[in-house]
Amino acid sequence: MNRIEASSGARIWRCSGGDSTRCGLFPGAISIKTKPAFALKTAGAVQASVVFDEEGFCYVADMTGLVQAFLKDRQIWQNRLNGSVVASPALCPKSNVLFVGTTAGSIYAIDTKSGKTLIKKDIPTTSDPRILSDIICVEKTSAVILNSWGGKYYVLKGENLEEIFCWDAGITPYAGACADSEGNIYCLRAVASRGVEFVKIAASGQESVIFCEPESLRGARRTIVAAAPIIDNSGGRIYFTANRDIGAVLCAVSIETGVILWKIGLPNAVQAAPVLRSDGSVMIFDLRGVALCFGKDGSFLFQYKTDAEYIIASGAVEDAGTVFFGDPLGNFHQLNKDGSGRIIFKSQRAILSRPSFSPQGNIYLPSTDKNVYVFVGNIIGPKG
Amino acid sequence: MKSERKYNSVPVCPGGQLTRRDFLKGAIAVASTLPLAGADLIREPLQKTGDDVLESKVPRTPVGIALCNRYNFREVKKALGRLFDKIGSVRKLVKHKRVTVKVNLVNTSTEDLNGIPLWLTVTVHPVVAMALGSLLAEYGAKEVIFCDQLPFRTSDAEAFSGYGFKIDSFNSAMDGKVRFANTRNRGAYKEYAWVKVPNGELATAWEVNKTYVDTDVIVSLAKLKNHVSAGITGGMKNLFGIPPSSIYGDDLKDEPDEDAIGYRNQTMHNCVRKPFTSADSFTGRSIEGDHGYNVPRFIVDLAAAFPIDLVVFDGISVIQTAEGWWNGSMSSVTRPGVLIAGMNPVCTDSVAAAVMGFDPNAPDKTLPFINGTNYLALARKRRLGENRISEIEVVGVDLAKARFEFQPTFRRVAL
Repeated sequence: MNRIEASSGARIWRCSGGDSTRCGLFPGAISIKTKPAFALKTAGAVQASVVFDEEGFCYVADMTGLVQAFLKDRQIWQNRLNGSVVASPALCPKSNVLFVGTTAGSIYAIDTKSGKTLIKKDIPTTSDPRILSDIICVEKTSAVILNSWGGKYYVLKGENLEEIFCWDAGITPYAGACADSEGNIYCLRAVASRGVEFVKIAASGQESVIFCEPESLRGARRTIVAAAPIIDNSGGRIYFTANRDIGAVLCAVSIETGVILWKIGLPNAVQAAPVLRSDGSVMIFDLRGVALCFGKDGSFLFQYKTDAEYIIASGAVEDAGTVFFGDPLGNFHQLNKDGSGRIIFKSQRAILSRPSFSPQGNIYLPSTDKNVYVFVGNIIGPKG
Repeated sequence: MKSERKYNSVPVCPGGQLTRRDFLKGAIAVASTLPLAGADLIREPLQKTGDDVLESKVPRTPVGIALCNRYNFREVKKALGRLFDKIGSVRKLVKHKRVTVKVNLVNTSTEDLNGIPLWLTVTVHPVVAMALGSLLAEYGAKEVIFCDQLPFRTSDAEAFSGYGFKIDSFNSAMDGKVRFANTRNRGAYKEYAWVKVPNGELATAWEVNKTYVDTDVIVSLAKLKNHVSAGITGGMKNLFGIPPSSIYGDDLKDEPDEDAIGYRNQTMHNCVRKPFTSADSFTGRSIEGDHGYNVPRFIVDLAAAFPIDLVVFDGISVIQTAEGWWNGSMSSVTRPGVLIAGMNPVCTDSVAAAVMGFDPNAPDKTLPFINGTNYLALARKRRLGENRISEIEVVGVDLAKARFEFQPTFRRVAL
């Protein structure tokens, strides 16, 4: 394997979007074969991204609650949990533990070697307990971060899932958090009578609201907050979208100062996390089936219209700027740096989750047709 | 409009020897000849039977599933046509008949779900309705009436157009055999129809727009969705739109009103008051404020009164977790990409629940019936149909292949 050096992005995608920045950028230029080499069979529709460890094992969780480990196309183990899995799991970088949250409101710590459940913790709530937000495990602290419809974000100790602290996650939270290298956490939440807030939580637990998109006429209860913020480490900024009654707003925030660098209105609402390209531009996938690209100064670069009425899942981008994403019609798109694109594969059913890169540069595409399609990639260099 | 004939006989039970028209017209006759001063006059005692007797009398029909991922008229029509050929004699059912299609629309057409139109989430997509209508017309249906009660005082065509149902397009696809009917009140009819509920639990009869009676065939065209109170929304739950706002609506004060457009929350969800029917027809056995108790029972009381001949599910692009835009951010769009059809509503709803990843025979207060009673099990006890998936023949796409697990129905309170 080529040695990869890049300023942003993760080689080992331990959570949806790569690492706790969630930027979706793989630090190497890749060309892929457009026909899947093989498919991993699952028991149910797959709505969570595939995650990897550095030894090349991949972990797949599906909507029947089945979690499986594979090495290439060979199943290593499986473990059936007590609820379906919508939230993408996360691996702890420092131990062999996989964290999986279910719609029944449980968080599991699973031994990646044996597949056995080490700990199961139920998130306390007085109403619906489901966990929908993609999980992250912060590299520096090994803390596990998630939220549930109980209305709280939790930071849990990776070793025993004991609560370190929690904070308000707003109404029916769906979006995951992201975290920077210092352990600061960034998240979005919908709050009644206030609107959609972008919040920074210091590693100590101290909370500060950086931005608030005022409550729309329909109310915060109607505003879906499903798209996680992402961090551009090399650019020193965070990108996030906040939905309005009509459309959304895309914001860029300075990590250092917390100042909003720019914000622009988007014509349609957004449910998928943005994707960061290595040139600093950012891709948005909206609920009218359009992928939009903006420069790091907020300038509009291009748009790419799919045939789908909406796009639910985010994409993954290699270092030369090619973005890969799926749509609900089952089409898998390759979107080139210049905005031209094409469908390279058609799944029989909808694609509702974000693709992932394996450490070898292969793309793993989950589908609701009960397959994870694997496209072999060839790493052609650290920069395109 | 067809002239009405008078019937003297009282129907024995739905699904028996009498035709639908006979049964429903008979029910009208009951209503017109009996002074409906009290529910006791038309109430029949619930029959208690052993399980063995129950098993032998529960109707079951095959249910068909097709994969279809986009709202393309030709693709949808082709898929539905194949399904109809597999599930039974749909052609024979509708030939030379007047067909009433109760469509699952909702109490507004002006909302959306995060900018996504209602027909991709909450309501039946017009392409599915048009494809169905086109097939029914080809099969020789005399007339196809798409109906639901819509909260608009405009013309029927205008009321439906907000949901994407354009009368010109439908006419073109159906050789002019189509009509839209907003059944929020008595409409063009001079009077309402009374329809008896065999063994009614919460309702002994329904007072409704005569469109639902002046017909040979009833089709329930449903959307595949979760439902917070009922567990899932299906062909049976779709009948909740039959009781008209003019009698059952929330915007009524102390008497019926032909201008009413309100929903039925007070009368059939919360059950804090009775409807303004011309005779007492609710038993009073509902539980105030308990949607999870009341809604499933009213569903069964509706399905018993209005025997559905054919259920069709639009499961291509739908909402999940809850049933409507009003549930706010707890609901989201998803894409099962399926069409489902069957001739028994309980069997069809049960297969639909299974496609969604749920057990249609699950105990009360477990998923998907997390907030109340399993209406499918209740319907089987009332002998309306089979809800145990192992007892239902599935044709077309295999159930295991078709399964597309929905996010669970929203749970109101932790158990």
